[in-house]
Amino acid sequence: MVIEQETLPLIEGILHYGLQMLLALGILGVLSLIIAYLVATALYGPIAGGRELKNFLSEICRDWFYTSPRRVLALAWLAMKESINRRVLVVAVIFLILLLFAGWYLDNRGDIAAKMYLSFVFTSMSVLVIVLSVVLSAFSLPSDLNSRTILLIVAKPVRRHEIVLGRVLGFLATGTILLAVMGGISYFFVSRGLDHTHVLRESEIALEDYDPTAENPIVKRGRTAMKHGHRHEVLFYKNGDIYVEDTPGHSHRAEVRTNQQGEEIVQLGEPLSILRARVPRYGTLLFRDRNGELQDKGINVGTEWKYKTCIEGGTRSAGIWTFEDLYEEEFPNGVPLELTLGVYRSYKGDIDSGILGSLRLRNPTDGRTSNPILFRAKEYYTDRLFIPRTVDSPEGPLDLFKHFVVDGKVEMEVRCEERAQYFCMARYDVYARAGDAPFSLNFVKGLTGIWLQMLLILSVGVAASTVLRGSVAMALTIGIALSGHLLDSLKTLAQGENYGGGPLEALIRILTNRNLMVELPNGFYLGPTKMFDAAMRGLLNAVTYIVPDFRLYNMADYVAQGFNINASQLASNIVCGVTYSLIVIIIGHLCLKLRQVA
Amino acid sequence: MANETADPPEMTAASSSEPERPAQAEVVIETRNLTKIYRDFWGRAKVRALKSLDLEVRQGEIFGLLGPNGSGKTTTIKLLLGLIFPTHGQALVLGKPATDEAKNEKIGYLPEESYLYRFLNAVETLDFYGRLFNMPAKVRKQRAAELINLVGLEGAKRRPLKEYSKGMTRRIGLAQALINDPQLILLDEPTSGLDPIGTREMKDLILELKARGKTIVLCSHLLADMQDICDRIAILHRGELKELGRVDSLLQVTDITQLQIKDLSDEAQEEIEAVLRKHHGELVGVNHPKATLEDLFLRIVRESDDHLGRRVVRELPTETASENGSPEKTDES
Ligand SMILES: Nc1ncnc2c1ncn2[C@@H]1O[C@H](COP(=O)(O)OP(=O)(O)OP(=O)(O)O)[C@@H](O)[C@H]1O
Ligand SMILES: [Mg+2]
Repeated sequence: MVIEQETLPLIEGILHYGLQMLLALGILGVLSLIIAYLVATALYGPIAGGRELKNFLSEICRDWFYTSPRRVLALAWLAMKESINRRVLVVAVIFLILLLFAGWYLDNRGDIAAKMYLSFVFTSMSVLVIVLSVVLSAFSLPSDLNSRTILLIVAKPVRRHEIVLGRVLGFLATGTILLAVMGGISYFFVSRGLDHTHVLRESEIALEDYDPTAENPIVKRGRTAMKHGHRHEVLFYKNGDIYVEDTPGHSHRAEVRTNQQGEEIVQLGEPLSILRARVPRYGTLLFRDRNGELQDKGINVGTEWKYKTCIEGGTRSAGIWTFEDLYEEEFPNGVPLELTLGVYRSYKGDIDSGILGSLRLRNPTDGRTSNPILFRAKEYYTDRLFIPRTVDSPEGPLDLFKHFVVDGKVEMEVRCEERAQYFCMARYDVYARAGDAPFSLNFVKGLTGIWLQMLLILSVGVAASTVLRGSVAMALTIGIALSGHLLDSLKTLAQGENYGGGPLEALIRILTNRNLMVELPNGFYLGPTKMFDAAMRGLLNAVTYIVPDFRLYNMADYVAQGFNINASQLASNIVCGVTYSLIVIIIGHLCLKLRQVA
Repeated sequence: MANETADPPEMTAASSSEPERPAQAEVVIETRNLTKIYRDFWGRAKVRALKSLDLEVRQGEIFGLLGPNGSGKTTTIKLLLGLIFPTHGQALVLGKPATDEAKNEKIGYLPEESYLYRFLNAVETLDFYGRLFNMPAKVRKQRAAELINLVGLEGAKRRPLKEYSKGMTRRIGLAQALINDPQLILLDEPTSGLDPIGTREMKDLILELKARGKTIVLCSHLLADMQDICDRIAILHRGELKELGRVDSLLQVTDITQLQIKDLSDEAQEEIEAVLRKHHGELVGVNHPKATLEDLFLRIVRESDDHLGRRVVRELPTETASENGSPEKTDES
């Protein structure tokens, strides 16, 4: 599996994700200004109303300008104290118990164990933290209003935004502590859960027929017993090197030793790079069809996911990746590529050996092309292909960086070499692996994603609870969090791309027992129904722009699938998240300023 | 006259000859046409809690708000603090609109019930509210220690407030109200729940605060105490102002004159009696005796209950108040 999401540099990322949001909020702001002016006019008349509105807005600005950090911290301290008083730390205990039971059920088969464990801990942490944030934030102010403790706060020189801000920060602090504790437990749990060793006994090793003239032939070959859902192939070279194959997604260091019974065994140590954070360098993808024309997309064979399209084997059609940033300093020995090509077979062929493919390098300026480098692509596997420094070409061996890469830019053409078989691919299926980043750092980056979600939910919850009752505020917050996570399906609904029409049409279908596909019969109600549904879709569309895009902050997939989270992507997400919650806090400020607290 | 003996003439003479506080002393609280109507969810008027209140409270005085339950005293204080917004009219506190949070820098407020966080202890409570006044840690610590001492909670300062008795809660509430050394102190029934000693101490404290130049507005149902300590009072009844003025002048009974004369010769006394007989009077003593505040309060409430409606209260200039007796009243209903 490969990440489908784009990673953009900081500024671009902010522009891309933030601009839409800011635009929507800007429109919303202007609209609410107009409404506010109308209300003020109704209350005070057009001129005095305008003056009142202006005064109100300048008061808002003044409040922020005179924010007192000491007051905000005092209020944050209070919120923290309150949340601890409400025994939120129980959540950490729940998490611990969850992990204890999960150990039994988690599939620890070698190739997916890391992914399973990481997905599990990240999902449970997110769920716990989100539920906690919703409950903490939505009920805090309402309970203060109920017990009227807020009266004594408001009777002090506290500005209203400091109340909102203090709450959010206090709960955030509690949540951060909790997240740190859970993160620590998770890290321990995952590394313990994945830790294992293998032993290879004499009886499991077989002698190999080998060519004595070869330089360093494989002399023995062994297979470990099934353990933790996987086994390793172990190769013994003539010079004494032992190579443990990493098909289960990790390898081990091997050591020959004698056990207590005096038997000689091969001991495989702790798993190597089972937890990893690969740093991918992506290119852009273009297709060439069988006539040699360049296309945006390949052909659709109908079975693969929509986002992958295919090339036909044995023809000129190819997928052409253009990489922009492969430099000699970073890849001094050559470029390790990882390919996750979809394989579509029109006949079965030899399932075990995979489908033969080829890769050609091309110099983007002078068009010089290398000889094909052959590989076999297996279904559902990430193939590794190492492009060495010296590449064969019709002109003889040439240097990769001298002759094919120009200013970091190079084209790689992937073809399927078996007639009537297909490779299916998308942009992020092929990448150059520029080493690994430290996994623990990546783990923390993943936690940061959860932290951002927490921040957003806390802000939304506290802001909502300035005017709504606790339960209503909670419902609203949950609604916003859910729609943020389900933004894709919401957009589908909003754009009317789903079957069965809008809410009213769907209701009619249910009542009249018609399935999603049949046309509704003509009737007087059809026009109004469509209009109503269009209005609802418009509303939903507006909602999709306002709701924070939680998919951005859900970076657990990267961690689970072993990809490094791009630092600039993380930074842009942080900027977006913090901006969004600031805006929400300002809205809360306005609401709290306009309401009476007693 | 019940207080004839309790209130010797010398005292009366002394208090009426006491130099009046200059009328131009700085105005600390000013309300104009202050009106509060509580509405229900649909915006329908539910309770008219305060009707067109005009008040002025000056620097350095103790101002008492009196009235039966539900007459709008707490509502007035909340309006002054900007906790609720007036339906009409406006209030200026320390020269700023009541809704301006900046004015709270110099205000102390003791609400009628404890609105403190019950999971904090006394020290944490005072420290917390001190931080809300942006006070540096050292000052906070010192102030908190002083105040805990002042309200006599030394022994319980580390216990969470949820374990406090009513009177103890009241005491920490008072300490909280004084944390910022306020200029203006609003006390809503400060003595409720206090033991007799506590009540006494509270009275002394209020007088001491006054001596230090603070302005104090308080509501209480303890009329005897109010009579002792208040400079001026306002009596509210169903949201309307029924009486306003200096306590000493309000309590003067003007249709009775009391003479107490030392070393009066018999002839002189006969002469006076003759004059009085001529005017169909009977000598009791030459003096304006004091009524109790309780009498005044009960009379006004009874009158107001009988004649519901607006009663225009105009406070006389303080200089003439002591000479002229009770303020002018007109009953419009
Ligand atoms: N939040 C509120 N909503 C509706 N009505 C209210 C509210 N607060 C007060 N009132 C009403 O306003 C009126 C005045 O109340 P207020 O609390 O000011 O009385 P009070 O003079 O302080 O009485 P007490 O001596 O009992 O403290 C009462 O009729 C009360 O019912
Ligand atoms: Mg009251």
